[in-house]
Amino acid sequence: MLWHRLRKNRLAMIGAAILLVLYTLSCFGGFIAPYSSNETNKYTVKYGPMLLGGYSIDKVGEVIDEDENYNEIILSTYERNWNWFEGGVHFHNSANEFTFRPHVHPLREYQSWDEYGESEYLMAVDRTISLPIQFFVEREESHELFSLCGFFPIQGKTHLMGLDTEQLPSDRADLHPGLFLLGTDILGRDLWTRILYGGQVSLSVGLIGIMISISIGLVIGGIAGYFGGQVDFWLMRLVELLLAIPGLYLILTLRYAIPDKLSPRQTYMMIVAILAIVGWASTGRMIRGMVLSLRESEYALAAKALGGSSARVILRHLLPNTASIVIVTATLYVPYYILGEVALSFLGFGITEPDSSWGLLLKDCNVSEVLKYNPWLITPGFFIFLAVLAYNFLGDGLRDAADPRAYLGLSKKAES
Amino acid sequence: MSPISCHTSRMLQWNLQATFIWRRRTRFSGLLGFGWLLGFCVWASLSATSELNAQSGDSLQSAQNNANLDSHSDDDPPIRRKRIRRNTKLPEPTPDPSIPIGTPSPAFLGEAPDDAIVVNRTGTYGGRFVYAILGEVETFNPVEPKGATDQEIRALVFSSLVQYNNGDWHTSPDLAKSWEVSEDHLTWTFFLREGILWSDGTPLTVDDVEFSFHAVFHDQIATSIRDGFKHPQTGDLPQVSVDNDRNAVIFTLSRIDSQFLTHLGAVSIIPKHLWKDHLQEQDPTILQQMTSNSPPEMLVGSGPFVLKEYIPAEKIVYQRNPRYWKKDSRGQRLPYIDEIVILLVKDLNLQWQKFEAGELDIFMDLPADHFREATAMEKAGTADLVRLGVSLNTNWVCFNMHPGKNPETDEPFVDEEKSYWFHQLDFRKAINHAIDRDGIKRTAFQGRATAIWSSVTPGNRSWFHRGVTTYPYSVETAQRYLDELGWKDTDGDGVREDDQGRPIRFTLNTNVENNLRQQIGNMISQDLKKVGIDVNFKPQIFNDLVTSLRDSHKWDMILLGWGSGVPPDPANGKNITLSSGRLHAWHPQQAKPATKWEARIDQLMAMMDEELDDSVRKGYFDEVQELMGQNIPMLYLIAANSYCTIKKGRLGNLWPSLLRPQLTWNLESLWIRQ
Repeated sequence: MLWHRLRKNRLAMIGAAILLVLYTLSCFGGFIAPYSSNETNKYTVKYGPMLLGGYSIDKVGEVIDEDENYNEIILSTYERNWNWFEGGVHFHNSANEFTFRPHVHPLREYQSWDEYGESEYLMAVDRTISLPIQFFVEREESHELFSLCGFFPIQGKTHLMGLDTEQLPSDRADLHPGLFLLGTDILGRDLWTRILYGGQVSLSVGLIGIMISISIGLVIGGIAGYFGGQVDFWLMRLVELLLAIPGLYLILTLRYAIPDKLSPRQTYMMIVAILAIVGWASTGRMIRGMVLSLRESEYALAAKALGGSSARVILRHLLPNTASIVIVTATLYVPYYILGEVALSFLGFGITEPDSSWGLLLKDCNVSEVLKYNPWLITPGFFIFLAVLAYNFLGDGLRDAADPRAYLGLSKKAES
Repeated sequence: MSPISCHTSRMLQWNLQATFIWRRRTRFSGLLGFGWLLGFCVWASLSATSELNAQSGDSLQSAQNNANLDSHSDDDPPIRRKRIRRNTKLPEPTPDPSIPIGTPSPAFLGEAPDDAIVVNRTGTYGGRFVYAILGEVETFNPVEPKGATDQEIRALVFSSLVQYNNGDWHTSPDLAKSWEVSEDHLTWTFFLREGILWSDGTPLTVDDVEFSFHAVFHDQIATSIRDGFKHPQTGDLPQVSVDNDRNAVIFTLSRIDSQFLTHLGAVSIIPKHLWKDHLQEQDPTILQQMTSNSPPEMLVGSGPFVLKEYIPAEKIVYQRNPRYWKKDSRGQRLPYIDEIVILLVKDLNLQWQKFEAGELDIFMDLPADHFREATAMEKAGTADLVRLGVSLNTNWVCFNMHPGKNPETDEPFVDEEKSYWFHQLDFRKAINHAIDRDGIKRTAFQGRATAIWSSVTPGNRSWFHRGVTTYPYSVETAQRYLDELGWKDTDGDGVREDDQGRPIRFTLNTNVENNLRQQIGNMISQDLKKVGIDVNFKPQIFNDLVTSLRDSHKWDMILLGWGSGVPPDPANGKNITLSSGRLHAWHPQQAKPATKWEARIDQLMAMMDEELDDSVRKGYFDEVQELMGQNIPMLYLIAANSYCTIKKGRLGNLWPSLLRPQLTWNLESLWIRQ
C-alpha cells in the first residue's frame, strides 16, 4: 500500500532514483574509478575537469637569466587559459579522424619564469596527441571492485576506464597522461576517484548511524513508553539532557576520547557511533510517545491479559506498529548524519588524509583562492547536496504515503 | 492474460534488450560500455565536432604553433624580454628631503634629548596603520613574554639596551649609546643615553636598567630569557652593577659568551618607580602585573608607542609615545605614524580576505595557497608583493630513537623492531633518498619552495653551508640500501620484511590543523610505499602530538617544522642541537651524549659559545651541519619561499626582512602615504 502511494509521488521517486545511483556508484566505486583512492601525481596538480574542457598555453614573454658560467640564457613566461569544451574529452584520434571512442590529450608541462627569477609549472594539453580511453582495463595493483560502502570488499584488477598510453612517444618526458574527468586536487589525485571512494564513507555513515540510533531509540523509547511512571520520568530527563547539550561540541569532546592507535576504518566506525550516540534522543522520545498511546490499544491490552511478558508485548506488539513512523523518521534523519560527518571531517576531527570522504574533500575549498581558480574542487559539495536533497524528497514522500489521513483523502483543510 | 504471464513476458523483453545491448557493445567496443556517461557523451560529441571544425582547416598550423612556443620565429610580433631581477639583499630606504613634514597627532611633549639616536630617514606625520596577527595576547608583561605574538608586541612599547636590526642583520645601540668590553671579554660596561623619559614623564635611569635585570635574574621567576644568560655547566648568571658617575651599567660574566648582546637585546627595560614593590625576595608578584587585564595607562615604557586600548579577541590599539627619543635626519622626532591597530584574527584565510578587502595595510607570511590571488592584486595595481626568497623556516621528518623505557609500565618507548630499524644509518639514508622533495615542492608548495638538507636554509646567508651531504631522490638507491640491509619483500605483499621477517610498518604523525603538513605527510607516505615501506599516515591533534613528543615518547616518525629565531644564529637553536636539549627531537634530554657524533656536536656548540669571531664560529657550525648531514637523525625536507604583501604604495621607509616580523620590525620609522 505504502509503496503504491509512494510511487505516485514523483519527487520521492526522483529522490529514490538519485539515491540508487549514488549508492551504486559508491558500491562499485573501486571499479568505476580510473585510479586508486590515493594515487598522487606531482605533475598533475590542480588540473581542471576534462569533461568540461582543457587548458591551453600562450607564451607571453621572455626573461633573460644567467647560467653558472654567466652566459645569457632565455627563459619563457607562459600564461594558461581555460577553454570550455575544448581540449577535454573528445572523439577523434591523433590523426584527427572521427571515432566513437572518446579520447583525451596528454598533459604537457611548461615551466614559466617570471622577472623575479621564480618559476612555476603549468600543465596544459598537448593537442597534437590524442590518447584513447579504454574500457575494462587491467591494472597491475589490485583494488576493490565492489564493496558495500567500504565493507566486504571483493578484490580485482579491472577498472571500468583507463587510458591507453601506448601511443605516447617514449622520448617525451614532458608529457604526462591522465584521465581526470572531474579534475584533480592539490596532490594531483583524480577528484572523480576521490569522490567515489569518499561516497563509501559519507553515504554509509548515515545508514549505519541511523541503524544504531534507531535501535537505541526503540529500546529506550519502548521501555519508557510501556512502563511509564518513574522509569519514563528518568529516561525522558536523560533524553532532555542529551537534547540540551549542543551536539557539535559534544561530538568534538567525544572525538578526543577516541584512542589514537585505531586504524582509519575503526576511527570511522567510532565517528559513526559518536554521531549515533548523540542522535538517538529525539527518535527515542518520539517512539516513547507512540508506545505510550499504543499500549492502551485493545491488542496490547489483550496481549497483556493473555499473560504476555513485558518484553514480548513491547517487541511483538508495540514496536512493530511504530514501524512506518520509524522508517519515515529514519529517512529524514539520514541527511543529518551525512552533514554531521561532513562537518566533523571539515573541522579535521573526522576522516583524515589519506582516506577520503566528501567532507574531507570539501576541506580543500576553505581557501578563497580555490573558489576563484580551482572551482571544480567544490564538486564533492554538489554530491553532498544531491544526497541530502534526495533523502529529504524520499523522506517527505514516505511521510505523505504513511499518513493515513492523506491516504483517506482527509487533509487538514477538510478537517477544519 | 493472467498477471503472472504478463510479468514473464516483460522479463523476456528485458532479456532481449540485454542481449541486444550486449551485442552492440561488442560491435562498438567502448561507447556503450559508458552506460551512465551516455548523457554527457551527447554534448561531448557536439563539442567534439566544433573542435574538429576548428582543427580540420588548420591542424597543421596549430601543430606549427605548438612548435613555435619553443622556438620564436621572426615573423611574430616581438615578445617583450626582461632581465631577471633577483632580490639578494633588500636595500635600505634613503631619506628624501622633499617629503612634507605634516603635523603629529597626538603631538610630542617636550624636546628630544641631545643624546637621541638620529635615524637616517624622512617621513610625514599622521595616519593609522592596520595589520593583523594570528592568535591572542597572553600578557603584555615584558619580563616573561609568551610566544611570538607577545614578543612582537613587546617591542612596540618597550626598548632594550641594544636592538637587533632585521634589515642588515646586525646588533645596534638602543638605550645604551655605546659599550666597552674588557680584555678578557668578561666585563661589559654599557653607557646609558642621557635625558630619556618614560612615557609618563619620569626620567629613565641606570636604576631602571638594574631593576629590569634583577627581575629577569630573579630565582623565583621562571623566564626563557634568563636561560640564555646561564652558564651551561654551573648555571651562574652575570653580576649586574651600576656606576652612577659614568651613567653606566656593568655586567660581569663568568665565561666568554659570544651571544651576550643577543641575550641583552631580549631584556626589556621596565620602570622601577612603578614596579619596585612587586619584586619581593619571596614570591615576587611582578609577573602578575602588566598583564592583559591591567589598565593601558599602567603599561609605561620607552618604546615608540603606548597602549591605548585592548579589546580581547578583537584588537589592540597603540598611539604615539609623545616622549619617544629618536629623531630623523631632518631633526623631526619619531615615530611618524599616529596610531597602530593590530587586529587579532585567528584564521589565516579570514586575515587574507580582510587584506584583500583593503581592511589591512599589510599581510606578512603569505601562504602558498594565496599566492595567485596576491599576484593578481599585484597585476591589478592594488598591492605590492615583496619576494623575500627562501624562508628560514624548515620542515623535517624525524625517527624516534629514544632507547629508554617508560618508568611506569617498564615498556620501551619505541617497539623493539622499530628501534632496530630506526637506528640503522643505511635505513635512514634509504628513506632520505626515497623522499621526493620535488614532488612535495610541486604539490603542497605549488612550486614555490626549495629542497634543504640541513637546519640552515639557503635563505640564511650568514650560516648556510654548501658542504652538507645531500641525498637526491632516487628510488633505485633507496632500494639498494634496503636490499643491502637484507630487508626484502619475501611474501610478495609489497611490503619489505627485515632480516628477522618482521614487516617494515610504522606510523607517521603530524598535526592535523596544518593543511600543508598533511599534504607533505601524504606525499611522503606515498613515496615510501614505492620502496616497500608501509607508512600509516595519521595526522593528530597538535596537543596530543606535543604530549607524545615531550612526555610519553610514543611515536615512530614525525613531521614538523622549526621556525627561525631572531637573530638567525645557530646558538639560538641549542635546544635542538645539544644532546641535553628538550627539542633534541630524536632522543631528547640525554644525560650523556648517546653517540660519538652527538658528543662532538655538544663540544662544537660549547666552542661556538666562547668564540667571538663569527667566521671561526661559522667553521664550527659547518662541522655540526656536516655531522648532522652524515648521520641524518633528522631529515630536513623543504623550505617555502617567503612573501609579504602591502597595500599599493601605502608605506614609506619599508625595509623588508626575512626575519620575523618581516615588515613591522622598524615600525618607528615607517610612515603612511595618504
